[in-house]
Amino acid sequence: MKKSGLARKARIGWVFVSPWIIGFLLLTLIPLLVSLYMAFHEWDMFSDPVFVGLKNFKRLLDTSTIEGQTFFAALSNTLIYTFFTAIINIVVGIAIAWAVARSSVINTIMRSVIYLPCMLIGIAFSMMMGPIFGSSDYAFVNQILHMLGLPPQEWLFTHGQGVWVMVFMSFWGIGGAMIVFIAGIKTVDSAVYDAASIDGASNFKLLTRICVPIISPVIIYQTIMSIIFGMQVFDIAVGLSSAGGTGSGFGMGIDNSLATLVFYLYNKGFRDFEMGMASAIGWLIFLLTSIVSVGLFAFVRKTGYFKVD
Amino acid sequence: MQRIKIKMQMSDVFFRILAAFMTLLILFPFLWLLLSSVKTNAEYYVQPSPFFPSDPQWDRYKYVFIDLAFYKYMINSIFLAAVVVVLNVTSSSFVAYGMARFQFKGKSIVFTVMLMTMFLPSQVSFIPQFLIFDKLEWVNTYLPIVVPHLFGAAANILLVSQFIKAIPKEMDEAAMMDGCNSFSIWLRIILPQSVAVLIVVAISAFLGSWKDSMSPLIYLRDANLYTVPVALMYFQAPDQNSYLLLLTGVVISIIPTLIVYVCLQKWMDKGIFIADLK
Repeated sequence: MKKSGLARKARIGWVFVSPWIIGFLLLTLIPLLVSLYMAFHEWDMFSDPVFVGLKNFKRLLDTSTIEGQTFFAALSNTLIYTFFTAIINIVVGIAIAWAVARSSVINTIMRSVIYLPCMLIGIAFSMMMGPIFGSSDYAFVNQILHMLGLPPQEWLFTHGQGVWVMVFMSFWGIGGAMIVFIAGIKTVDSAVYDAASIDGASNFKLLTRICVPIISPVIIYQTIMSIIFGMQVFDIAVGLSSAGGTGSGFGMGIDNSLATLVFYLYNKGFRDFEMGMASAIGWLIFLLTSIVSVGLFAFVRKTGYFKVD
Repeated sequence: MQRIKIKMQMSDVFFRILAAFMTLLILFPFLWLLLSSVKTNAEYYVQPSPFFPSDPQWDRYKYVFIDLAFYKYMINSIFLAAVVVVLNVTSSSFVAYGMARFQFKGKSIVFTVMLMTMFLPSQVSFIPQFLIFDKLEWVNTYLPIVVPHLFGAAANILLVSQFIKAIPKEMDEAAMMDGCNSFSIWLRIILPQSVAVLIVVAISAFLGSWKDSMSPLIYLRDANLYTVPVALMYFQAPDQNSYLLLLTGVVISIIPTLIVYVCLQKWMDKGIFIADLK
């Protein structure tokens, strides 16, 4: 009697969980496999797919082809962006969180302002930066250069420079990390800080010697999130590349100056309709991110932050 | 002792200055954008450009909002976000109840896969998803954007299920005595009891949808369906001021964000956005 009751409960459990499982199969697992199939084909959506073996991957990984050059430009931009954004998020994020963690009117105002850019539409955010970092002679930074008697710079159109504008824009995106770190800082018993500061520890030492070690799981979590989101950077690059962001309005900047992996996938798939090539890019992104994620994921499980029960 | 005190103040001052500097740095582009959007062409395209416009072109706002139909894109965006919120909150809470209250074989596998999907890049499935939705003739409708939310989002499910576990089981049992089945327990007990966490999920789903540019860029072709990011991306104005009109559009796109932000200050300040840390 009891056993059948348990079995019945288990069945009901499956019913409740089923929407997610169906969604996972239809929108994640099956597309993943279809995408793998496509990656070995050439297909423009109009004629039938043609099997081409490893050709798509070979072209992407061969720097003598246009695809290869673009792919590696996108890869290098994405890695630079991910690496430096993660560092900015962690280092500046913690420092800012520490500075504004205490509740006061002025801190609340500063927190709100610092978080504000995180609420913006990515494209609007990069378009907002257009009049500052844009390549036009009249953008703010170029106006300053002009006043200093220096030549204006085509930041976004110069290979190897566009990505640094994106990295620099990360300072406007630290709000998310800040909120996470404030929560972390607040979980530490204030008596711990008090005791240390009575012993003569400076504010800086309180942060680096006491707070940072205690909230290290939060730091790990935030690092993982920064890396995963960094690898998928898309909308700020698209926004900067658009006519509105910079005045260019074609492709991924000039000379792939604004190329990122996901942007390249989007271009191949939804502008050029080279579905096979786009799928191959997708799988390379997937493999690359998986290697990073799985390592980090194993680490997170060990910290025991998420538990089944 | 005196030296220690000075050192303390020094590092305190450092953090104060850092925070103030960051606040001003972040505010500056907003200010510059707002000022640029009302400058005349002659004032914007000149070196050096004056900081404050002498003859602010405020009527640009009316032009962009009404004549260039930004009000419509905004309604589209808000409508879409509202649908996403309802679907996402309902389905995530539904699945979360199953995860929190029932024991079944394979649950830990489901849990692990759920956790993994949070860490994997979703872009790899965009091309096949597009092909599926194209076959269904859903391209150029909102369906490809809202339907995925019917199935719950892993992060939200995990967050809500943590919350549900904290609701006393006695409440379920009492309801069951009264003849409630599992579905009505979810509907009558669990949903109302977990409002606090569902608000968090709703906020994040709303923002996620409002900010999403990739799916709308992929699926929406008809300008009548455009959401705000797509409208900004494909911005066209039959006017030589078009860049400054675009900047006006960008300011307009920020305004709802500001309103939502001010209204949600209470939630923000509790740091509740990141409740999923625990």
